[in-house]
This record gives sequence, C-alpha cells and structure tokens, in this order.
Amino acid sequence: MSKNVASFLNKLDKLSENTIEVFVPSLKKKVSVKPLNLKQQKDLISSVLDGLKGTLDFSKTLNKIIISNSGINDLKIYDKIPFVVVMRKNALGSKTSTVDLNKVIDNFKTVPFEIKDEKVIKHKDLKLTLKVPTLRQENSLLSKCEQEISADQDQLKEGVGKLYIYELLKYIDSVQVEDDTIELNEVKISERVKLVEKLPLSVYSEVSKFIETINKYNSDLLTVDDKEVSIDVEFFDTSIDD
Amino acid sequence: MDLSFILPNKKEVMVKEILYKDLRMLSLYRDSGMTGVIKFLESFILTKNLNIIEKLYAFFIIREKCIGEKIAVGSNKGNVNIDTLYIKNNIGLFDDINEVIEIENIKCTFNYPSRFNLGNTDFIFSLIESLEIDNDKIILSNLNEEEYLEVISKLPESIYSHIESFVEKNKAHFDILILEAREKFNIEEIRVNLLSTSFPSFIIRMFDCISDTTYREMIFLLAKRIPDVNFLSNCTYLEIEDYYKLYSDETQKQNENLQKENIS
Repeated sequence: MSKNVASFLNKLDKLSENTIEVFVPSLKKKVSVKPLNLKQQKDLISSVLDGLKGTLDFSKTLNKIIISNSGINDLKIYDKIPFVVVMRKNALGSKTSTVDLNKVIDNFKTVPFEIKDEKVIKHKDLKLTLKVPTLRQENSLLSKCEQEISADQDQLKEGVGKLYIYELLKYIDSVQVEDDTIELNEVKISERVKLVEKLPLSVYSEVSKFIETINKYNSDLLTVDDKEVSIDVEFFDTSIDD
Repeated sequence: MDLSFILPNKKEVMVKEILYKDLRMLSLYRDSGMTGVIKFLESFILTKNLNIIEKLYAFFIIREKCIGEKIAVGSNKGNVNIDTLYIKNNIGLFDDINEVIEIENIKCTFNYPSRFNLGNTDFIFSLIESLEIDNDKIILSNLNEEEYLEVISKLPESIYSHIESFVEKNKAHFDILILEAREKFNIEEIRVNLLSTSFPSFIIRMFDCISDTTYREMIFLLAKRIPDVNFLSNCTYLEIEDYYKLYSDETQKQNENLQKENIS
C-alpha cells in the first residue's frame, strides 16, 4: 500500500472513530457499535434487486454488519433488532414510514426479555434439543439456503418451502432417537435438511412455538401504538429521513 | 504501435493497436465472464485514470483505426450498421458533471464512473473520483482493488444519499443515444445507459468480430501468398481485410488470364 493511501486511511480511521451506544436487553447492558459505513449502506439497499435471494442476502448482510461493527461474535438472533434500529437511526434519523424509532428504542428497556435459550421437545422415542442460534450460525445457514434456491426456484413455492425448512433448522441443536444422538452442527447442512424433513408433524408445531417466542419478542420491540416497523430494504432507504 | 489522440475534453490519450491475434484472444475469452473481457480490452488503453465515457471514446478510436468505422448494433429489426462517428457526434462534447461536496470533513468529488458495471454493485462507488481530507488527496481509480475496498469500507454512510442525488441529477448524462428512431424503416431508438451492465456488453460487441475458426481460415488462406504467419497475426483486422482483398483480386485476375490463355 502506498504511503499516500496509508496516510489517507489513517485519517479516515480517525474520522470514523466515533461509536454509538446500543442497549442490548439480553445482556442487560449498553455496548458500543460503529455506525454504518458507505459500503454497508449500499450492500443493504442493493439486495432489493434480487427477489427471494435478495431477502436472504439482506438478512445475511445485516448480520455481518452487526458482528463486524460491534465486534461481538456470539450475539444471538434476538439481539439483532436493537443494533439494527440504533444504527439506522444514527444513519438516517428516527423517522420511518410507520413509527418513530425513538419509541422503538424505548421498547428495548420496557419489553420484558423472557426468552429461554434452550428447550427440549420429546415425542415418543424422539428427543429434540432446540437452541437460539447466534447471528454467525444463522449466516452459515442463510448462505447454504441461498445456494439451494436457484434463480428459477426464486419466487416459486419450492423456494418458500426451503426457507421454512431452513428456518426450523436454525433452532434445532440435536436430535436423539432412542440412544442415538446427532449434534446438528456436526452434520452437513444438506443432511440436516433431509433429517428435518423426516420429523413428525407434531414436532414441527412444537419447534414453531419455540420460534414464535423469539418472533413475538422481536415484534413487541418493533411495535409502537399497534404499528409495527418492518426491517427490510425500505427501512434503510435514504429517501426517508428526518 | 501506440496511437495518441485528443478527447473532446482536451485530454490526451494513448492507446495500443488491437491486432488480429488479439481479436482471436478475445474470441477465446467470449465464454468467460464480462470482467475478464473488459479487463483485456482496457489493457489497450495506456492512459490511466480515465472515466468510462473517456474510455468509450478511446475504444471508438481503437475500433476505427484497427477494425473499421462501422459497428453492428442490435435493434428491433435485427443488426444495423452504425458509423462510430455518428455515435461520437451524438455523445458530443463531454459535459462537465464534476461536483464537489464536503461531508464529515471529507471533500468528495463525483464524476462519471471510472469502472464499468460488471454486475458487482460496488462499481457505483467509482462515481467518487477523488477524496480529500486536510489536503491529503487520493484518486480512487489509482487504487488497487484491496486499497479501493478498504477506502470504501471506511467512508461514512452519509455519502450514499449524495451518490444517489448525483445519479438522479445527471441521469441524462449517463444515457447515450446510439441511434435515433428511423420511422421509415420502423427501427426504434437505441440507447445505452453508462451505469448499466449493457454498456460493457456494448463495448465487448464492438470488438467481437471474428471467431476462432475465422481466424484460422484467414491465416491459412493468406499464408499461401504471405507465408510469414507471425507477420499476419501481428496485422490489424483492417490490414488483414486489405490483404485478403488484394489476394482475392490477384487470384481473380490470374483466373481470368488463365481462362483467356485457354480460349486462345
């Protein structure tokens, strides 16, 4: 790297030294996070062009940004909202098409955090251990899902079906049948999919209930006066600001 | 041989001749992605730090000097031949769209992009021509890929809305008229947007004029008259066409003479 560029990068570093504070309910404390940079903003917005794959890409990009800007590797998926909202407010202001983000930020301290990180489901000889995944774990699954959904499957039922399976897969930590236990993180993702597809229907509904606790928590955080703000590409659209 | 010419904005540009062997190389690149082909074509522009409209002009010069002035462009009525001079006239003088803004102590100059849109949305950052902090200035097109990404990743997000405004304000400048509608022939207007992936495709098509088979056949044929194959492959397409015409005329005359001799 030339001296000139290195010196310029040093100056840029100094300019971007400022951080913002985010209250993370699960940690019960404030953590520092770097504001969004130019490339991150573009990466979030450009995913809008790509249908179903774009949706996956958006989630993946968001997770990557949170991990990179906070420097915390083991954040769980229920930690996502506080980071997203505070970084968005810092970049584009508190106004959105539905609610004022300052009120959403107030929710972080008032909405009770009652999520259990683990749950065990039993069905006859089958025992499933569910765990809330980290953002990093979610991203490796999203990458695999992106590869699976080919361009022609995009927008089709098959693609949506795959998304559902991957959503369940995120939360299943291990499967035990009689004395035989499989830790899912030790198994290839394609084999995990086959395994989950063979689970009895009644187990699916139990897994869905567990997932629902996290979805409800996220929804409560994002709701102000019965209006819920959506975290999508539009949320980062620069044309909506204060 | 290197060629030098002056752009409408008075900038002097040096380019390298594209030879017959280079066109063969290009035909081999055809099945690979656009990135490799454009990188190969850009290697014929010797002057650095040109933006894509200046590069387009440079490609027109290389095309005219080495292949010819007529280019085939796809239309609603099939391919139409257009003279490069006609397109250059449509582009006219380059309008100066350069704009400087200051955000969070960073002086940021926007201009025509320096990179082609090859499918990676990062190309949009090449609308940033230069950045300056406390008299320390860098030109983005001077940076290597690693430096470029590092700089972009450290710029404040607030620049994004300015890029969007700049694109919106100058959208007419990013749109090039290739051919006006020809009602008489029912041919619709042809335009190409500098910021779209169809722009590099348009440039690639300008140079996509021989196949690997054509190359072999032409060299095989002309080698009967000019045995130095190395000389032939180092000619331009225009020269090869000329030699072919001379050879064809010569053969025709020889055949006519032979026929006359046989009759007498």
